Amino acid sequence: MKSDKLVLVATICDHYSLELPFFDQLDHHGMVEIVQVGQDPYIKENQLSILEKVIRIHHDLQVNLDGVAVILDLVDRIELLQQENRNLRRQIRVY
Amino acid sequence: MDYIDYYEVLAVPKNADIKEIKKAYRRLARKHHPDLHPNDDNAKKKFQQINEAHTVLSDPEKRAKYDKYGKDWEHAEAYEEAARQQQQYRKSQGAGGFGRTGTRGQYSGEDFSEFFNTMFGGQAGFGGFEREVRYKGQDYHATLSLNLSDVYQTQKHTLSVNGKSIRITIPAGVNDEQVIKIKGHGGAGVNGGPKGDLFIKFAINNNSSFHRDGKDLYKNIDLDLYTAVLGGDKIINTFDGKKVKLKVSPGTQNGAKVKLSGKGFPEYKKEGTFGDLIITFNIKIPSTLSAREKELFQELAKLKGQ
Repeated sequence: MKSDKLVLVATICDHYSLELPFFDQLDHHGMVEIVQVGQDPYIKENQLSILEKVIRIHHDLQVNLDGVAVILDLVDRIELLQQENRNLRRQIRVY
Repeated sequence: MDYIDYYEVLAVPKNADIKEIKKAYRRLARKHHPDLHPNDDNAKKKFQQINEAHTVLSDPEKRAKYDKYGKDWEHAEAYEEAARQQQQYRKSQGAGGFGRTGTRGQYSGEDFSEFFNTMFGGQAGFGGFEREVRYKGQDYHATLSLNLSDVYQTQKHTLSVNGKSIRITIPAGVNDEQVIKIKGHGGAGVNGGPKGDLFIKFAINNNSSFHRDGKDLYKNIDLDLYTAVLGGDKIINTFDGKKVKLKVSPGTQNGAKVKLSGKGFPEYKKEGTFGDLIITFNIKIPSTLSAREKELFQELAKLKGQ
């Protein structure tokens, strides 16, 4: 289900001890979309999980945001390949 | 519940220094981080062990306790009680316990092993971030249009925001484009977080003959030539509709200003304090004269040698 709830970026910054320019970079890399409401930037609630994933990889593995973007892209491709692999296995079973 | 050898998990010797421990953690975290292994439960379990081992061994205090009590965890009950009391004390001092603390909020112990929870009382969660993050709800922004005469006195208004009626007090003297915050009347919080706030911006329409600049009011008043020359009284209507008798000095010039102290606009949130009313005289020269008037003006001109 699509969620249109917005979360104030300032609140997230406060919670995770992040700086506002970090979100500009996330937006620049196309990882998280910033929604401007009046003068305040927000992100959609349904993007919180991806944001947390970015923060985890960035912090736990000390990977810069370019690297995180590449990792997320590769992980997406792994998931697609895993799905394709499962489908192919099912087809093999049928024959 | 089994004893966990954290040194073995990180594959480091018992005398490994903090650099070696961090290096081993990074190497293994890169290899087993669950975000890099979608749909792989084994990676998640492995990373939890690595994270747990790193949490203990990278903290000198915790590592010392682990080294001292780890193998004898069955007898650690007394220690656990002491540690709990110590933790209570730390909390009262404003510092956190083990793991990440402060604004990062609440943690669940479920991501760590039973062994860890027995030893350390249940601390930071996987990856150091809480799962149920609480966020403040969305702030709402609204514009309220009022006439200048509406904000001359403090009054209550009922607004309808997202189907809910909110009764607010608008203090006298509120300014055009001023924004006031009504706390907790925005969108609902996420995961039990606080509600957002409602921001109301005022659009003040000047429906009066006065010009307003903050708490001061300005008005142009027409003054007949004879009163300007000879002096006299002039009745002025103030903003609140009251009449004030103004003494006009003889020889008043066109554009002359008179200040009526305390007859201006109320000052915002300063009950009973008013600005000034500044009157500018606009002297009207007669455009049509009777024959007699013309004759008298000519006589005046002769007297002045013109």
